[in-house]
Amino acid sequence: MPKTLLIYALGGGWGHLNRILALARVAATKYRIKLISNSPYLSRIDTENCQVFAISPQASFQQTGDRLKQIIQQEAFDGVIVDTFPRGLGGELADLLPNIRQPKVLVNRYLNLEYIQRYRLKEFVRRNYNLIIIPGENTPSAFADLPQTIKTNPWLIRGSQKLANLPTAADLLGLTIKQTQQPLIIILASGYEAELALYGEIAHSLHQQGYQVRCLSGTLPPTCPLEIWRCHYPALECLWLADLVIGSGGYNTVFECDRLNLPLVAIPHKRLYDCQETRITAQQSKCWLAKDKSTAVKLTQQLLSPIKTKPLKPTQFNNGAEEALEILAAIFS
Amino acid sequence: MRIKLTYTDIATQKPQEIVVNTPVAIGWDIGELPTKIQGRDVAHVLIFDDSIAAYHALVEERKGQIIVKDMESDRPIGVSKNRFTVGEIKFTFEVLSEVLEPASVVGGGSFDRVDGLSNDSNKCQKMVGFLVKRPCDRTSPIGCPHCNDGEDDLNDYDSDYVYYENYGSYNDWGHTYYRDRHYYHYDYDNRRVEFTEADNVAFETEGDRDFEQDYSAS
Repeated sequence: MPKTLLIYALGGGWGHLNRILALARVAATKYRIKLISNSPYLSRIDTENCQVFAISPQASFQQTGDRLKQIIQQEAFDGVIVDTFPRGLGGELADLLPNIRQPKVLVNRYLNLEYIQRYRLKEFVRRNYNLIIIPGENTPSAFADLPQTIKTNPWLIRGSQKLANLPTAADLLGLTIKQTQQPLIIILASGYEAELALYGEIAHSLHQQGYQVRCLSGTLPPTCPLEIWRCHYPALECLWLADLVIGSGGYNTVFECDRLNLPLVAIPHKRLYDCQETRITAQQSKCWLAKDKSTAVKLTQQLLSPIKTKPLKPTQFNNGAEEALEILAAIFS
Repeated sequence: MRIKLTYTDIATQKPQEIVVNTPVAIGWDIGELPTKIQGRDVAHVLIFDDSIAAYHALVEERKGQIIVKDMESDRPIGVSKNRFTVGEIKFTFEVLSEVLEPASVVGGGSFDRVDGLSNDSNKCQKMVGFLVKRPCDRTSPIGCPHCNDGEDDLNDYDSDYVYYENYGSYNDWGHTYYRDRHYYHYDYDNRRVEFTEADNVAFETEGDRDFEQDYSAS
């Protein structure tokens, strides 16, 4: 009988869900996974053999908190994995965690220092978590020096061996094989709905200038020409075909480009707990900060070679999610 | 010289009436307007109109006469029958008192000693406050924390401002603040603004936002 892991992955957008699914899909080969999420994108994606406890993103703060407590108190599990927020996104885990005897793991994405200080999170994490995993973040971590902290490579939703081959990737992007021999810009339009318009404008501008552009997003961004828009999840499967990527400074965008060795023109968006600008500037190479549309377009013009020089096959990389699975085996054995 | 200036407010089209001591600087950018001329405090009249420059004009008294200088061209502006025009704004003025110097108060407080004026004119005219200036308004220096019972010359917080490199450079903020003043608690009589909850939002930073209140945050 496989052990059951309860994974807490609350938070808006794709980010938390995508990162934790990267782990869950490999962990599901050894464990039974129960996943709690309130992502508005949950219904659109393959949840990788996980038992999903979906909480409506429209639920009130009180309803969400009550439902979370109910799940944690009623469901059976052998261990807990909490993504990003040590006390829970609404603080609801603060009272629950000390009473959970099963092993507890924190996935440590970047967190606002003010938040860490206000809630004295370092001490809370030290006391309440058996293991802290930093999944590839180069940004400073308040928990990095705790004895139970381990860093892995970034967690990606697909390993390099699972990426689409050239014909499939070209098809997913609506390109012919011949077109793939021309430089390609892929725009990853992620984040909140209101933020998509910016990417639509960039896509429109570059398309008008004659660049070969594809814009990948869950919904069509305003002003993005329909013929260059594609909706495919996970984008990583075909992202490797790009010569340059324009996207946010979110965890998944930054590390997917990092692992595929793709130049990224990254536009930071403000978040309450995350700091995308910090993540962008912490990247050692191939990541350029653009604070507005015109800078993003200018950087793209400067960085993109007019001739395709990139090999038409995906770069090989290690997926930190698989490393994490081995680390988890030690704690949940 | 103490004068009453009257002009029409652009935003409200209502007549504005202010009582000030000369010299008086007129413009839209408080950062550009001088705070002292020859050791004397300069009163400010901020007007946000396309015809008004950042520091447009200076109203001064010379030999008992009011003269107005265009600071853009460095030439005088004509004054006729207690009227003058700055940009497209027409001003009228009335001389209330010939008294020029502050009263013989101890320390740096600026108490007018004009008999026959309202009680308000006996209040300290020195501007106090670090970020948002306001008249001291005390009728006596005794117990005043700003001039230390009249012992100290007010330093206008100069030593504090050196720590804030861009203090006074508000750019567009000053304009919107003045333009939107009707949304604040603005008192036409004393020209003071009280901050409201809306102002708090305007000044809010990431660090001020409440954590653990939003399940869709990231």
